[in-house]
Formats: sequence, C-alpha cells, structure tokens
Amino acid sequence: MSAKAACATSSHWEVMLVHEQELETREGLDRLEMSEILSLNASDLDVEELESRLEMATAVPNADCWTNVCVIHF
Amino acid sequence: MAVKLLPVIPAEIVVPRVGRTEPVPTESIERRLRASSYTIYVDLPNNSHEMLLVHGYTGAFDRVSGTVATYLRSLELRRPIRPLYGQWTPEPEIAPGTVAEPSAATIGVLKRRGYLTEMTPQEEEDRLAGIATTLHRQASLRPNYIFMPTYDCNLRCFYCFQDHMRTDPAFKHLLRTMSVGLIDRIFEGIPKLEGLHGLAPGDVNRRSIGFFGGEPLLRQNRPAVEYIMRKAEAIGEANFWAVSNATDLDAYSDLLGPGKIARVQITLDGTPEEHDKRRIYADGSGSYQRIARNITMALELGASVDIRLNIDRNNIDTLPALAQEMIAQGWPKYPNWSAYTAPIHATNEKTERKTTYTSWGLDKALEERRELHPEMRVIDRPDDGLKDQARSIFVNEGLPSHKGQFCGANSSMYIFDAFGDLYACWERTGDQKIRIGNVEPDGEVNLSQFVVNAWRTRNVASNAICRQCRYALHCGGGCAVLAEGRRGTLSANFCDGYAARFRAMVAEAYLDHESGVAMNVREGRVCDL
Repeated sequence: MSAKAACATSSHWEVMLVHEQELETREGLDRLEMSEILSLNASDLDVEELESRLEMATAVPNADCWTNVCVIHF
Repeated sequence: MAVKLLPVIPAEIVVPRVGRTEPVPTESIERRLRASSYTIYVDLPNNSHEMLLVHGYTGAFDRVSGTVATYLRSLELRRPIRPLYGQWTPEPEIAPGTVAEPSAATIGVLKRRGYLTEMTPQEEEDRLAGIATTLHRQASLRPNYIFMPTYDCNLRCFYCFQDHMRTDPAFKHLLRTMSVGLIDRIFEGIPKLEGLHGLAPGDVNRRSIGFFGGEPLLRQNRPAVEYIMRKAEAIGEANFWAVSNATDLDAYSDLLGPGKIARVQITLDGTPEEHDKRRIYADGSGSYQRIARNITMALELGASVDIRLNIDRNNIDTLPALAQEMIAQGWPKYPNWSAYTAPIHATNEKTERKTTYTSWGLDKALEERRELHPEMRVIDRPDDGLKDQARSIFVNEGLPSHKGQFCGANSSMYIFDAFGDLYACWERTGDQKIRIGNVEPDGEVNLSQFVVNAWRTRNVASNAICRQCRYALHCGGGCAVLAEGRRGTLSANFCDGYAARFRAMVAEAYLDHESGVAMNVREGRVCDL
C-alpha cells in the first residue's frame, strides 16, 4: 500500500470514526431527550396504592416513627 | 388508684380518611388534570436543563427534564399560600410558548407518582390531612419519658430559657431534687399512662428514658438518677440518655456507656476562651476544662457524645478555632462523637434578637465559613441531618420517613419534674399552669384534658396552613414553642425557612450522590430547638 493510499484509508477510517461518534452522541442525546423523567426512589410507587400502604404502616408500628425529633434513636 | 381523663391518643377528629369521606356525587365535579398541590420543584445548581421533583405525600423523588417541569408548573392551579412566618423562595415565571406536552408514557408516570392528579384541591387537602392524622396516631402509640431530677443548675448561661429559675428568688422553691418517694410514685404511674395509650402490662418491653434539667447530672443528683435507672430496669429494658452540661459527669462514670446512659448531649459555646465567657459558674469562672475532660472520659467509656454548639452572630467566627481545638482533643476520631450547631433563640430579655440567626441563616453562614476553613467540616450544620435523609433516599431508593407532627411534645412524650408535675415539652416546664398533669401524693395520675389537647392534637392536619403546605409531612409544622413565641399560640405553625432549606439540602444531597461523595452516618439528635 502506497503512502498516499494508506493516508486516504486512514482518513476514511477517521471520517467513519467521527461519523460513528456523532451517531453515538446523537443517540445519547435522543436517549437523554427520551428520559423525560427518571424515578430516583420507589420505582413501583403508585398513588392509587397509597391508602393500603398507610394501612400497613399503621398495622405495624415502627418505633423509629414515633421518635422523630425529641427522642434519640438507638 | 385511678387515672382520670381518657384517652390521650388523639382521635381522628380532624378530618376523615380519604375514601371514608361522605361520598360526593362525581358528576357534580368537573375533573381535569392538574399539577398536584403538593409538588415540590427542586432546582439543581448549574443545571438549567433538569430539576428534581419531590412529592409531598406520596414520597416520590424524580429527576425530570426542564420541559416536563415547565409542563407540570403550567398545570398548577395556584401559587402556594404564603407561610405565616417567612416567605417561600420565588418560583421562576413560565415564559410564553415554552410549554410542551411530554409523552403519554411520561404523563402516565407523573400520574402514578402523584404529580398529576384529577382530585380537586379540597379532595387532595383532605388526603394529605388523612395521611397526617394516620402518621400522628402512629406516633402517639407508645409513650416515652423524660425525668427532670431538678431545675437547679450550676451554670449561669445568659441565654438560658430557665435563667429566671436560678436568678430570681421568686423561683427559688423550684430548685429541689426529686425524692425517692416521688420516683416510686412516678413508676407506679407509668403503667397507667401506658394504659391510656392502649398498652397492656407486658406490651412495652423497652422504654426510652431521658434526663433533662436544670442540670440533671449534678453531683448531688447521682442517687436520684441511679434510683430512676434501677426502677426503669425493674419493669423492662430501657435506653437511657441525658442532656447535660457535663461539668459533673465524672460523678457518673460507672453509669455511662452502652446499656447504661448510652448517649449524652453536651453543650460547648466556642473556643475555650469564648466558652468560658458564656457558660460560667455562678462565681463567673469558666467551665471548659472540666467539660472537655469529661467529654473524653465519656467517649472512652463508649457513650455517644453529641456536642451541641449554640451559635449566634457573636460567636460564629470562633468556630474554626473550636474545630481545631476539637481535632487537637482527638474527639473526631471517636465514631461515637459528633458536633452540631443550633441557632440561639431570643427567649429572654438578655438575648438580643438582632444577634441571632434563623436555622437557614446559620446554615448559609456556616457553609460560607466551611469554604474558607475546611477543618470546620467536623462540625455539622443545622440542616446536615436533612441532607442525610435525602441522601439516604437516593442511596437506598426508599421512601422518606414522613411525620404528622413536629416532635414528641405533640405525640407521646411525658416529662416528670421534681414536684410530680407532668409536662409535654421540656421548654415549657416549671409552671403548674401549663402542666399537662401530675402524679398525686397518693400515686394517682391526673391529666388535664384541655392542656393535653393543646399539645397532643397539634399536627399537620390540625393547622390550616400546614394542610396546604407541600413540605408539611417533612417539616411536621415546626416547633410549637417557637411558634408560640412568634405567634402567641402553640397551635400556630413555625416555618423557619423550611421550604428553602429543604430544597437546598435535597439538591446538595443529589449532587453529592451523583458525584459519589462519601455519605456521613449520623444518628438522630435530641432536639433541634
């Protein structure tokens, strides 16, 4: 392979690489745009089930819940 | 013997639970999708493209694009009501033409997590109040106890809310020590108090027993304190803790440590020089060296020591030097040691309001100084606990610990003084007119339903402002005593810049989480007042 051909091939691959990087970046942006909302906790949370969750919490007293501020947690 | 005036667990008298209200004909209500009245918008510093959403009663924490946040804000029916004290941080205006509807999938998530609702504002307020009432009932299930062996104290701190008891001869009669006979009577009364909470003998196998004063751990109080501990251990297991000035802590060395008095809150007011100007004996001499020796002793014995630093504008600039002093003492190397700051409140005429900070103001002032003095990171800011809670949610992906009331004074805390009087809050003791009850000489326990109700029915649901507040289940309505000081009534809310503090700490916690900053592990504190 001549030096000229090698250079052209190299340039071609560089162009391809840049193109792929652009595609990846664009896909990344698309993913970002698609990610309009990302749940950071309790991914299965459903407001419709709030009542039953509270009923359960009331049925099983949690000692930590009645010592919020004025009593130390041990 | 009998206990008068039942019951003390607050009834669900404030609002009925959602789903149990009188049915409203649905055809009479025009349903339309709107932003929940309890959506909290948290700006992320240096990120104009995204923000966090927090839902005030579902417990959801989400990161959303600016587009989604703008869409949601465009569906707000009204601006949040002004708090009685302070101002909300202003929300940015929505620029015309910037509202775009997100995908159907995103709208579905927003509905499922509570940010979008078809409930009317009143229905949603009722839902919040129902949740708050449930949480308050849960918090009221099990009593906890604080003993005040005496109102006497060996120090004369100028800002003390009990200063008059030691300096005004009219209150001299208060300075007695709890007798053995009274301790016996109190322990006869404890099962009866627990009965009022629906607890049968044997239902309570572990009790929280605190010591507060005056100075509870004075050298001369030792027999009373030890007797209280033995009595408590005779009826079950107990966790003991104390709020002490630690000047006489050496007299309690064999009662300190795991399984004994396991935790002590001790106050320092600055560097040794500054502390010795403020926390002084009656003869004007300083107390720092004795306290410092006793802190090291308690840490060596395995007791947890929380150093409380009462801060105002006059001593805040001594904190860098105090941090260096703490490091020199070697305290930060103990895992059972922590130091935190609390703003001094103008609770007597010797304290000028202009020298004090709000919690938010102190937090900001400390943050500025931390930038210049990194050693100050051994001292927690008032809101570091709030930040830790948010961080814990991001790490564990769990739900926040909501509360229907601010503290134990509004649920199930009983404070016994040396006269057999019962109080709800240690900031309001020593005056029989405000006691919630008393233990009679014959062992009978009386409770004043009127005063009990004033304290124990104060919750998020019983306050019209809190019911409409997005932050209410995180804040709990604020301290009743501080609310009374500002508004003249225990039932008022005390906001203390909570909205701004909450948003700032959630944003900080999220940024730390994203960048992998190590998380601090702190245990709960005695009282943030």
